[in-house]
Amino acid sequence: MTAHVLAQGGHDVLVVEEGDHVPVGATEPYSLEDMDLKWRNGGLTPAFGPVKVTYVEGKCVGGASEINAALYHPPVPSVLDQWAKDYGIADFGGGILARHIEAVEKEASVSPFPGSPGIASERLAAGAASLGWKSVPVQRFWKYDATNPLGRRQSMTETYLPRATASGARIESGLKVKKLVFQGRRAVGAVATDRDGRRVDIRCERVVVCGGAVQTALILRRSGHTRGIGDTLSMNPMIRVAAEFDDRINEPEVGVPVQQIEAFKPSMTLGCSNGTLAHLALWLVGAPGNREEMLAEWWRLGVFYAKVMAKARGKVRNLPGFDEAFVYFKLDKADLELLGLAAERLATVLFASGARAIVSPVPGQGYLRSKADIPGLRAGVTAGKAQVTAIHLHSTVPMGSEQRGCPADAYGKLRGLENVWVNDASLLPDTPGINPQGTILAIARRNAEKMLG
Amino acid sequence: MLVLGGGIRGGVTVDAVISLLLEDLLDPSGRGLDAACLAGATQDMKGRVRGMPRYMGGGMAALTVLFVANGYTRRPKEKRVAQIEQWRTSPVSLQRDFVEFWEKMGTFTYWSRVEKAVH
Repeated sequence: MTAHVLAQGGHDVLVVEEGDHVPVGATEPYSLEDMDLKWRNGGLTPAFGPVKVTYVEGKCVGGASEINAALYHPPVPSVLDQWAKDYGIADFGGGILARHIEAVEKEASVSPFPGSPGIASERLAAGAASLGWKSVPVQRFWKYDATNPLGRRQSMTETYLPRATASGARIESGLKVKKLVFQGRRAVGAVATDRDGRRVDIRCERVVVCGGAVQTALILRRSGHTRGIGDTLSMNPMIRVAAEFDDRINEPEVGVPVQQIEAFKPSMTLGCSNGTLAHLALWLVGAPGNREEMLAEWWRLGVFYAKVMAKARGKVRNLPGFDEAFVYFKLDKADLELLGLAAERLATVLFASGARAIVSPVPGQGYLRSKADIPGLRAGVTAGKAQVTAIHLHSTVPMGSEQRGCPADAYGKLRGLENVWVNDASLLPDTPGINPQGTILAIARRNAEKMLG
Repeated sequence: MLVLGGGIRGGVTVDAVISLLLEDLLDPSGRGLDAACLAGATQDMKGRVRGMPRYMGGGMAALTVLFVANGYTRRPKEKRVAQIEQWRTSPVSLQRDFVEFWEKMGTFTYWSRVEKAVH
């Protein structure tokens, strides 16, 4: 987004990306090959703390938009207004972002799933309705046409990056920025390494760091700019379970089913997850019985998630002698209790949707076969025994007022520096409680326009 | 002896250790895994460990050396499986984490190979 707006505005733009350019469709989403080519550390990125949390980061041209489920939620105006108030963000709020939200929806082809959203979505919707819980099929960054009824993901490599290059921007992939170089308070360039580890020096007049919540903080900290950077990482922890039904629930051609239960938003979201054979097998680990026999009837199995807004904050640090970020995140008691409640509600709606059995994510618990088994699941999750994954990492360089301790101003410009901006998920002062890509893009569009002056 | 370079010199190769570990974790009762998928998963797991953040990869290699140090690869299957269970239920979290990592990622890589073979 930033490259597109700045290049279109007449600036000479160079996009530097550590990963490779892997076109949409070149790999099967969520496959091992996809993870090797587009995910940082092949998907093995842990956050350390009393409860182990694994998260994922995109490491490719286009970043997270190339590997996520491409789900779109319009930013919630009341949340934006609250951020403006709580963090002292000037010229910010639902009304101010409205035209940017509208533009993003158009430019990135936000579309509803055409026709039926698939069996898993329908079953979840029916189960939720029977409990009186509201659920909706979520829109996606996706383009459909007559030649391809299943459509095509509209990630950055399909939308804003081609527009940026059409306006003259250049993209250099396979270049890892190690640190920014300063003369006084001005950044004058960056030191990077290429795929062979050779040093590459980059000169520039202005820098906009858009590496995602972890890498943006890491680059800035490695560059010696540490005050308030990487101290307030937020993320959305989630529990995933595999569930078995009497008949078909899994349709690989549909991709990630889009139905989400909205009744408990923003603090909690329940929905469907990716259910390829390998992912089903993964979430069956620990389940008693013969895994091969269960997987032989994979079409009766699905993976589902319960995600919450954690109150806890984590840290991103650069360890001396190591290249990678060290991420620390301590889920607190209240977060785990919320996650336990979310797991309970997920199991409740899955049984209401016709699930015959649910594989508990709590080691040693085996299957949940009826509602009577649910309290044990909640207790296990609350005690921090279940495997927790996380998505939607934000807030490592929050924007806002100096009085509130925010290292970036209302438009992402870093305090104490003359010509360095941040314009990605790091800026969000808190988690928006929804799939955040729409919010991030709308804010980035607003900020990039401001950079044009 | 674990030969980290991968060649056999009167010892056991990394490939052989990983393959045996996956076999015991994914198929403790010995019903049989698909040989081609197991071989592929073994290579994939080597890649996973190499791709880990360095501060984790070194630890994982050290734990693997520790795991095989008492002759794991020379033991009969039932004793190997028992050793895995011992680590799985160990009071030492690093030992439990070791089993969890190999079991989960091994399962994922093996079934990725099965999935690819099916398609």
